[in-house]
Amino acid sequence: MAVVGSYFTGSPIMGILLAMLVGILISAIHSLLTITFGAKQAVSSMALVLLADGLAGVGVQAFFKTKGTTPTVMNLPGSPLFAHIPVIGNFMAGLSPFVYIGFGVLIGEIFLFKYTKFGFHISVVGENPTMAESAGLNVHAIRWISVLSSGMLGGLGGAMLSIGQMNLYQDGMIAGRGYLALGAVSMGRWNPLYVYGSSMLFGLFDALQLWLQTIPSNPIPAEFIQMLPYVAIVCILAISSRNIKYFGITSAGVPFTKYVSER
Amino acid sequence: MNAIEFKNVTKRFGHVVANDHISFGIEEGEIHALAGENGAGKSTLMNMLFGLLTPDEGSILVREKEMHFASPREANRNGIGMVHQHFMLIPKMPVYENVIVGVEPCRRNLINRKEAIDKVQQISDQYQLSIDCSRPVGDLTVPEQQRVEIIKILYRKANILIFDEPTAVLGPQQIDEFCEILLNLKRLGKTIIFISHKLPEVMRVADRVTVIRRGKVVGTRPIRDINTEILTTMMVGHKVNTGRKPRKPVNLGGNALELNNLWMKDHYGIEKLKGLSLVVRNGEILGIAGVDGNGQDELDKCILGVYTPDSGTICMNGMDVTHTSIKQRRDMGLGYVASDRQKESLILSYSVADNLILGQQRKSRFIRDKFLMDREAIWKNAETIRKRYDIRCASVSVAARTLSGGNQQKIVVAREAESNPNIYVAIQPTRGLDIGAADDVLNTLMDMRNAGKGVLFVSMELDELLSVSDRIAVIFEGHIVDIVNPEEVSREDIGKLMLGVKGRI
Amino acid sequence: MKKNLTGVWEEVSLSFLSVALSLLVGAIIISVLGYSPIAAYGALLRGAMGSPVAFTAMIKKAVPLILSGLAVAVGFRCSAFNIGVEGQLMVGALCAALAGIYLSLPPVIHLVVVLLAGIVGGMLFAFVPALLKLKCNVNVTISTIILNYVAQFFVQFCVMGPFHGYSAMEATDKLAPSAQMPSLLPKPYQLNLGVVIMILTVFFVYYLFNKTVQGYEMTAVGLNQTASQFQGISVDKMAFLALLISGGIAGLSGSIEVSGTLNRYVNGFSTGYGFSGIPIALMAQNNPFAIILTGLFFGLMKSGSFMMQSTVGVSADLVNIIQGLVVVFLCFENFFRYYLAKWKVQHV
Repeated sequence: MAVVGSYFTGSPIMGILLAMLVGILISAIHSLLTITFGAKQAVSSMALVLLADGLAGVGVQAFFKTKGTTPTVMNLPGSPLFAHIPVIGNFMAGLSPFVYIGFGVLIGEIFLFKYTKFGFHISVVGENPTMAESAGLNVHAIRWISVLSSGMLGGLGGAMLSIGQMNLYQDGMIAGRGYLALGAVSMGRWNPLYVYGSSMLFGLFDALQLWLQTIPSNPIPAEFIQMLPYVAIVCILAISSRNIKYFGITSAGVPFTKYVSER
Repeated sequence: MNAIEFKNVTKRFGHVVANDHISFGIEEGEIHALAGENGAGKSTLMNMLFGLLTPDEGSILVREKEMHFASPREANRNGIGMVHQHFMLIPKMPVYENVIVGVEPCRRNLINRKEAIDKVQQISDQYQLSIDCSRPVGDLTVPEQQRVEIIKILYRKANILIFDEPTAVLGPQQIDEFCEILLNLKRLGKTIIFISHKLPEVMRVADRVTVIRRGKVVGTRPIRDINTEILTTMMVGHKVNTGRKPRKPVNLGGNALELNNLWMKDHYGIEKLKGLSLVVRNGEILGIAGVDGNGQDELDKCILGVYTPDSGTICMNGMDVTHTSIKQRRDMGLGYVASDRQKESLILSYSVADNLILGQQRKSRFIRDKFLMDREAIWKNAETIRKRYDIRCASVSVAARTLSGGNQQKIVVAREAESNPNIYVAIQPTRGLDIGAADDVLNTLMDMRNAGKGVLFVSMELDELLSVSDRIAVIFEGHIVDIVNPEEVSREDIGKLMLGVKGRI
Repeated sequence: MKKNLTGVWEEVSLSFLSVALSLLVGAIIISVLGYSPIAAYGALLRGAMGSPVAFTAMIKKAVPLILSGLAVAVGFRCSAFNIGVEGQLMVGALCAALAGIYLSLPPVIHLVVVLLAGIVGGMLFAFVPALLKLKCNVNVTISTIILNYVAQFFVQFCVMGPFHGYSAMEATDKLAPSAQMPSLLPKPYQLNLGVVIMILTVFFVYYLFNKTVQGYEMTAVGLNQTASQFQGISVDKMAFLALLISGGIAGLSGSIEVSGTLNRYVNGFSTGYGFSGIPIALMAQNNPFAIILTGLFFGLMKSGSFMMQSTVGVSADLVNIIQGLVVVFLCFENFFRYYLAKWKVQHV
């Protein structure tokens, strides 16, 4: 959940790297608090959201001497690398490189969980940390690495919004996408491919609302359309939470530490 | 050659001696049963062998070499594997994935799934465990899951296999199959340690048996030299029942509690209650004796209303309460002392006074102006109870957390007694208490009986049951096998009933 | 419900430690940015308490924060992690505004109706996650977070659409004078009746948890679900009730802002009051009287932050960083207690 709180801007490539680094740093705090000290996930992540929000605001002020919105920066609007490919070259070059990065992450995750030993260990720890430990896995290390990677991807997601889609950072531009991701994960039943699919669906809702807003004589008020992805998530949660025991990760969020002795 | 040898192994927890100079050996290639009542010290001993605990004194020899395992993994590396009572499996994952965790066949950090499946399947076939290792564990039955646990330790190349109460989770037919598996493992050269308090299985598969009672070895005997009679005596001892509490005759009233033909499955689908029926009359203490895991937990929770039985009825004072809520039952006069006081009975951060009204907070004597708590009444109530039950605390406004276990339990026992119940249910109310506090608790049960209430008393301690009960019902495999009069019965007789000897061998 | 003294001491020191560490880290951040922490914190203090007028403004600013803290605390006490206070506050504020604009009632009654409308609005919006929890087992934390966005868009729609006022502002019309909250002090002092209502609410929450049987049961559920269930308390019903009360207080908080400060519903008026309620409640260990203190602390920071920004140049968002840090340090709780317990064992 701390992923919401990671965004930063700069020059394109460095900006992305920096965004990922900040994501890792913030998730490191989350790891320390929840994995090592067994603090409640919800409390720690709310703290980090507040913290990151503040950091972003102060950062904007400190670096750009403005408030709320940064000046425009170099962004990554297209992928000229693909321009030479015949027929679809123009289309492919028109897409943001983040689209390809996202796709790459998907492939990477599928590969990780399907073929590698480490991915397998992550799943085992998520399901049953006691068993993992008795089989000789280092539960804390695996959880730390997982949360740090998740923070890194969160930072990447933030960079996508600021320098992929736009060319600046604006207060409120994240608009709870990190929380929507929770719904996408629940809907995608923790399977990277399905989660990718669910996210595409939310992307579709998002695109739909943008498109509907451009229609001049559109009878549906814009706010209702903007609300759509969020309402959809709540409905999906309502349906998918009933069976959460069967599809959910059994020990997600359950502390496994010497600092928490009772419950 | 001895595969394992214990030499004067001693383990203390505080001032309780769990294992007192335990010495015996386990021969290579035998099935060695470790028998004894609950809390006799079997599990402590095995946990020391398996690296989960460290002995205070004495030594453990594995193949004549002294070993100190710091963790189960080290025990694994030395060829010792353990099948725990509670399986450690991930239902979502296929069998082979569950088996290979931590020892995956790999090429450059990529799991070689084909090799994994082959290896695991080969073990299953070799030991005739008939498991399809690509099926998810969650689809398997309980005995099949147990076999997956066996495969897990065989995959880690264990030669010495420890089974902790393996038959506790199995039905009679499944126990037969399990015995075959054990014999087969033995034929293939494995050494097996088999912890159990169920005599039929022990008599059937073991070569030798070591009996432990109260942390001491009673003796190690070859099975062919003994019979169930001898074994029972070894396990429960010869102690003559002396401590029977004086009681005044009470006119037995109507039925406080009636259970009719209760059936219930647990979430694994195993029948835990199988046609259980019993009656508790007003003015008597009905003791429930039985080996842990024979349906007591389900019985208790059905009476309280946490579980609803699949079929059968529960009546309190002649009223059918089978489908009523916990609150309704308590309002009808059910007092209930749960087995785990800290988790199920107390709010540890609440004061003693507040804990003494938990569950009765809406009774009119603690309420004024409809929804305000009457602090003065609550305080007076607490002071009265504190004096009457000798609850030792600095004041009734300190947190329950600060009290000793015995005094915490007194809060619970007193609260339930003072709620003026018609039926008083106490589940192992003396567990973990010293003799003085335990005696106070038992006296409260006697007082309830003498006041004409129906008392149901579930305990693992035979002595306690014999001391206070008017009748003792013996529970075995989910039903009451017999109801005996404690004044006419010996410990051995109850012991046999508890172990399912009568009618089975 | 008295706790033993050492326990209280432990909790108070934990809160103070967190605040001290957060201010320290805040100071480090200020220095890194090239400003003087002393000047910045000085400006913060001056901005909040430099004059009697500023002082009253600070207290007025603290009122919605304290109420939000109370709302969060009510949920926390019963283990219902209500992050939706922000949304409930907005919906409550809107309902209050509509009642203030479109009803015409005699003076005192009108104000009461406006406040009640706010409470009901907040409750209705808290009813959604409460019902989702009860019927579909949806995690309260997640559903309340997401519903905040739904509230934001819904309220925006209402303000920009059907209830938009005549001015160019993104706001409704002004409330009828009978629905506006009277000031307690003459201008330019800024104190209004909201402070009194806030204090009444503190007492209400105190009474709820310390005097009423429902409060006793809710706290019991929050502390030990199993024991509460075994003693016949309905865990689901209590969590439901706690969420509704929490939402009601959030709505009240919004309606005081509308009727006392803004006199109309202004889109985006809440600058994270509901979210600030979380550190406020956590820091106060959910104790209603302590929430007045922690709420004033955050009110001071929010109120003084503008002075800090204009005179020293440190962004007012620094306050958000400190907010987050306070909770981060509070999360060290288990760590702190673990070593405290160890230390005690060794020294007793």
